[in-house]
Amino acid sequence: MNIINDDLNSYDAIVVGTGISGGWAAKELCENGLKTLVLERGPMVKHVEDYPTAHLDPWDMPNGGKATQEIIDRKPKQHRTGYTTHVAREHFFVDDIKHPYNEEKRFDWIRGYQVGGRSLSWGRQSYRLSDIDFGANKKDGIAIDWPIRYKDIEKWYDKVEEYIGVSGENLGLKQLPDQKLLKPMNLNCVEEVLKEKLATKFDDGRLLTIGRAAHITEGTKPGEGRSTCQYRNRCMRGCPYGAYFSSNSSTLPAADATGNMTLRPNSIVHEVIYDDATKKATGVRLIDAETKETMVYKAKVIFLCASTMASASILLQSKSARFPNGLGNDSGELGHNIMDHHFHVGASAKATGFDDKYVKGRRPNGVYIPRFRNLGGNTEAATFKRGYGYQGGASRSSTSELVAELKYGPALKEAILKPGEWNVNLLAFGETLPNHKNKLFLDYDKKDEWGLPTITFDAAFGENEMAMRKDMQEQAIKMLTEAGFEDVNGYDNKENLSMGLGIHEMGTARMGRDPKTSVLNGNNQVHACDNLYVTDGAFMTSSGCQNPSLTYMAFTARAANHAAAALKKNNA
Amino acid sequence: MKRRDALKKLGLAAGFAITAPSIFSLLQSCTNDPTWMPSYFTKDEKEVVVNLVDIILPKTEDTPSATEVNVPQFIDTYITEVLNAEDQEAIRISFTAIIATLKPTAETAVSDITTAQYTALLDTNLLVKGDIDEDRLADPAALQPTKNEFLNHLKYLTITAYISSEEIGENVLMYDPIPTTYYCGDLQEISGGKSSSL
Repeated sequence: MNIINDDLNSYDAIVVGTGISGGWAAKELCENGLKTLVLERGPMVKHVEDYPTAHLDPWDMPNGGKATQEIIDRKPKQHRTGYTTHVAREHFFVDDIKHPYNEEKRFDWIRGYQVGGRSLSWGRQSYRLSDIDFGANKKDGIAIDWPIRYKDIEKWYDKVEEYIGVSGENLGLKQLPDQKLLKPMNLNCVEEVLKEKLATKFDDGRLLTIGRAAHITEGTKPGEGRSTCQYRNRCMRGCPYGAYFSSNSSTLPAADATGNMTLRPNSIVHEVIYDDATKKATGVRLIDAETKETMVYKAKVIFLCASTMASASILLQSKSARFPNGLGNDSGELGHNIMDHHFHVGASAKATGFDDKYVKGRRPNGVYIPRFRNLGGNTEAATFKRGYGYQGGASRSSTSELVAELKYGPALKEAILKPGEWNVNLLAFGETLPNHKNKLFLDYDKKDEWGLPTITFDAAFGENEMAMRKDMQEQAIKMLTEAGFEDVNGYDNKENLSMGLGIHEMGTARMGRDPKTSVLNGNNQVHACDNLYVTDGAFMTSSGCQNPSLTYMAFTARAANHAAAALKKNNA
Repeated sequence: MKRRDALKKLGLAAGFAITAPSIFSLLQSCTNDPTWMPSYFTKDEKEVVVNLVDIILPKTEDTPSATEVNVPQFIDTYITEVLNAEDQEAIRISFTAIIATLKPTAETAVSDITTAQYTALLDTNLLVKGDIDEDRLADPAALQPTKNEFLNHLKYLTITAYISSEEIGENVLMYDPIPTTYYCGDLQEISGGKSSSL
């Protein structure tokens, strides 16, 4: 890695952010021979070395690892997930007191400020969008059309998947394109039953498969010591085997290996500098998170990969005579059209007859039921547009149900050491329609400790999502009932209906063909400033119902190669 | 847990540089000290908890009792660090009521409460599936837990503490830190009928 020399503060490229998208931008730009400065607002996290909890068992942590009041007091918003403040992983999530934001409506902005960002803690589910998704806005007359189609991005999905390693099973579905997959993880015996029943009892094409997860299930992948999954399911702590994809294990080491990357942690970028004479972005302003020193770095091309919210915030802060409302905000859409996936709705049940079965290993993955709604024929739903998929699976509880019937004594002790009943859960993740009203804006009266304005969220799910949720619950109940499971219970946890909890924020700088209605063009370039690219979730024109990270990677790789080609052309 | 074992588990023996201060503080928290000083419990509450947890999970032929794996210490730290001030206060009020119930007369010292009296408390007040909590029925909106709710909370905390202890987790339950694979199979073959501790 190059040593930072502030006197030589000019680069070919600058990448802001080191998460899923930033890592890919860094890798592709560096591999194209561009001297690239990679800026990250949080501290360094080195692969393996900086995963302090990776090998801890419950008894190695106070209170078995449960979040303490001290942690919750510092991270009350991060705690809303119920899992991000566990002692084993809370160090990868922000301190809400140090990094405040404001809520007109509850918004759960769950994030991590460190090298690697949320690529360390992501859910790793990796699905492609299809032409049904890219054409959906146009078909429904909602928001604006995507400026690209599947054929434009297909080879970039191929490239990304082959590099990072995604395991799973191809199904030849039009709504869920086949992928470059490593061998699938196994279903367990109860999931096999559900799979078989769905195939035989439904005639609308719904089916069950193992989740497609960014885990190496055979062989190795490039990066820093990336080997096969050990089925410990401790992924969110950082994987000492490099078995799941993270920037830290994969793309950043690749970028570093070129000799072209300079990585600068603790660098809070807050503005992109725009030069109206050349109509180009010329650099970025940043504040050192530790020393609070301000500095400027210059480059020929700039990639914002700071996250959907942070990239929009940086652009909104980048005001100039040409862009009084934020860089690239001619359309007035910057910071608007926030989307997330709505979930916490589905059904659970009990499976009997499997008392003599158990699992070896802890699979860091679940089952997937791809979208089966609004795909034509008998799949059409009258009450809502788009669709949803289910994630979940079957597992055996760790204590016998007898525990609830026994007061004390040797029989109780025996019961707490034996596995209990098998439970099955189907949790739906639904598409959210883009809506201009769902927005963020900056509050210049409430500043953070670096003197920067804070973000205020004003976003909520709409009528289409609410109508969809009824079907999400009903169909889950129907499938578990048809499968012959017992005690089927539908649920729709309205308490968790705030946006953000899906941690799939999208849409604040959407792509489109028309600069009057979109921020980015089909190459992720800001319409009126073509050496500035935004390739995190901000670019998403619609949300699909698939987990979006793989799509960010593919678009980032495509945009970075576009930028490199444009630079080479200009230099030639 | 012995400090050296802990360091080994953290990979320090293999030369990894781990600098997070939280890891070192948790190593120091390991204790087997018989003169253990609770941070939340009063002297009387400690005495009550030590007696109750060993009735809930007594020593048997194959497995240790709750106190042998430091269940009271776990509960004390848990109440101190995980529960909020409101819950801590409610627990204090519940303990007062429980201690009053346990004592045959107001003058009885807590140290003189007999095992039979502890057992009688649980027989009467610790309800299980199918039982009806009359106190809760009488006042459904009361914020303060009933005796039954408090004792059940204690029962489940005892269970959590027991199965997340190192002795039970590594030597009694199925301990499989690096499974390398995932499949569904015969319970006896995979774990000998025990649950996985991880």
